[in-house]
Amino acid sequence: MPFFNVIKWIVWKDILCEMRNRENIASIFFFALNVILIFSFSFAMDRDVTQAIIPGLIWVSFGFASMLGLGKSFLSETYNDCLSYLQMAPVPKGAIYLGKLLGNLLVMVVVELFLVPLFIIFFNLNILDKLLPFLLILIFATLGICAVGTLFSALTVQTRAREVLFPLLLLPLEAPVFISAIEATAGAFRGDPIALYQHWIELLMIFDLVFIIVSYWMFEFILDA
Amino acid sequence: MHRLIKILRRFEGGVGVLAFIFIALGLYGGLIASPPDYYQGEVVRIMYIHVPFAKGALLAYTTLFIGSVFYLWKRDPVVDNFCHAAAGIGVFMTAVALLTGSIWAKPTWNTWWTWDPRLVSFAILLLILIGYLMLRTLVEDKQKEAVYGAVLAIIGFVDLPIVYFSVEWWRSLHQPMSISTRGVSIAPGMLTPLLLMSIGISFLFTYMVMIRTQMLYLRHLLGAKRGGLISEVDLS
Amino acid sequence: MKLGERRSLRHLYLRWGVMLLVLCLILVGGVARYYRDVSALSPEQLMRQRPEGLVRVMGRVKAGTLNQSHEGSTFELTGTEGGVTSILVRHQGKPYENMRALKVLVIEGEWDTGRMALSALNFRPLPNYGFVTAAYLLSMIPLVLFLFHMERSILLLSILIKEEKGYQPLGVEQT
Repeated sequence: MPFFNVIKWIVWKDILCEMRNRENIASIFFFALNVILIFSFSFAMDRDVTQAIIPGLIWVSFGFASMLGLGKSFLSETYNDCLSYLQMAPVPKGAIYLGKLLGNLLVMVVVELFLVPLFIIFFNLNILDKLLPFLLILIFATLGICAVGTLFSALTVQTRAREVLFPLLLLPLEAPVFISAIEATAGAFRGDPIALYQHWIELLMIFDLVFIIVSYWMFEFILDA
Repeated sequence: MHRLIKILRRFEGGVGVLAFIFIALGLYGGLIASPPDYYQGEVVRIMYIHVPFAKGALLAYTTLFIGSVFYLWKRDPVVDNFCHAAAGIGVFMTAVALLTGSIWAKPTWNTWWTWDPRLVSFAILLLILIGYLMLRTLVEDKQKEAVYGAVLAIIGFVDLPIVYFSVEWWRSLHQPMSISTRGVSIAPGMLTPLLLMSIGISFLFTYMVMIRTQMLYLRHLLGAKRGGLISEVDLS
Repeated sequence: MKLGERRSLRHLYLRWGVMLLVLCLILVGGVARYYRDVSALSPEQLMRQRPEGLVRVMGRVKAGTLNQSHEGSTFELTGTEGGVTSILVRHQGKPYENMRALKVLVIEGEWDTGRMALSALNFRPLPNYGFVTAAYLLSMIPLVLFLFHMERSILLLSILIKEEKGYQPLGVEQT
């Protein structure tokens, strides 16, 4: 089926590009590492303070990293007229969006999975038994960030000030994702039973669903413009 | 002369006069005729500005959404001017609403700002509208500018209720609503100026969008004529 | 009505002049109402001016002087910034809500010069009129400027469009 083939090929192209020169993943990873380092200077390494701040710190650093990474996701398409070829291709444009979304999701999740052990090590977190709910939150929240981020990346990549415009547009709209992710992560790390924070995960799922559908629909307009 | 512009020019005079009358009456009622509140004192008069401008801001945001959907359907450039105008007026009204709300909050609650869902949603609305205007400024191609703006407006409109609910859940978790923007009961003497100002500012918003749409349309016409794209402009 | 023949800038200025006049009248009315209903003397000004009849005083309840019963209350009122001057206030009837020592409030009453005491009739919360003025000015002035600028732009743009010479190929007479 051409629809799923398109998605498969775009994801494969992005993975291939990424594996050949790991510049995107590497830059996101080291940027997030710097953010963690700087934040660690901002508060005393008191056990209680760390426990209180860690969920926010994790998601702020993931958020900054995604601003960097997602903003560039369509940049590679602007070289060699690739974007025009995508526009001309006789495939549903929404499939291109989904392919890009999956590619971005993979990159972001890989970076985050590298960062989580570093968080555990640097801040002496005791969360190994709570990793499973945290991974669930991670995937849904990253999907939420990538859903709108992929669309906005296509919007801003041809403008003059893309590095500034992309976070400016994306961050206000991602507020529900960050609130839900931080609250759910805080609940998971405290060891609360999942029933106490499951409504945050449900909000994340609703956000993902709504925005993947809306962005899928809107992407066609962007690419055809 | 474009059909929409003709309609706007026909009605703008009436809308403007109505807006002025209602606002003048509302200001008279608000500043002179209405009594001060028993608890808040004179500070309640700020509400006569804050509430109508907040309603105007939400009206602007809804107008932007409807206009954007209409633009993506019909691709009419004047409808795009209309959306651009609505966003500009929306920024103005949201900023005034936030400013006057903050000025009201200081004597009443002894704080300039509180992380109430409504206030956070309004701040995010302001950021979305500013982002819309910046996107339109920074995109070089005029047609792309219109489509990208419309897409951003639609996504922003869908997102704002989600933002409101998530902040509401978050606040109820961390602080019981001791300070609430709801339930400020209104004495009858104060309802009239509030109503007059609300109607007046709604008419004013309509008038300002009509004016600004024409201004943007004329700017594009001037650019087209200067760029040699059109040789004769019939402004009748 | 042709856009090109839209009534001139003069009409715009005239219209705005009338509107600003109406707004100024309302403003003057607001200021008058302020002096009539809101502005309050401090106890020191009261002692100096000694007006007859109804006055409005703003001050702070002096600590240790508040005597309240369900029939009435008496207390001494000092200036809001401290100071030595204080006046005696008597009030008959239900005590004011949240009345306590060091509270700042506005009292409307009758000043008895002979007995140097104020018979309080009404208590009011603080006027805080500075906030009200700031809010109205910060919203109305930008609004007026913004709207005037837009209306003027429309007229100027239509004049510019009319006068703009479109491209004329060589050999055709320039009009």
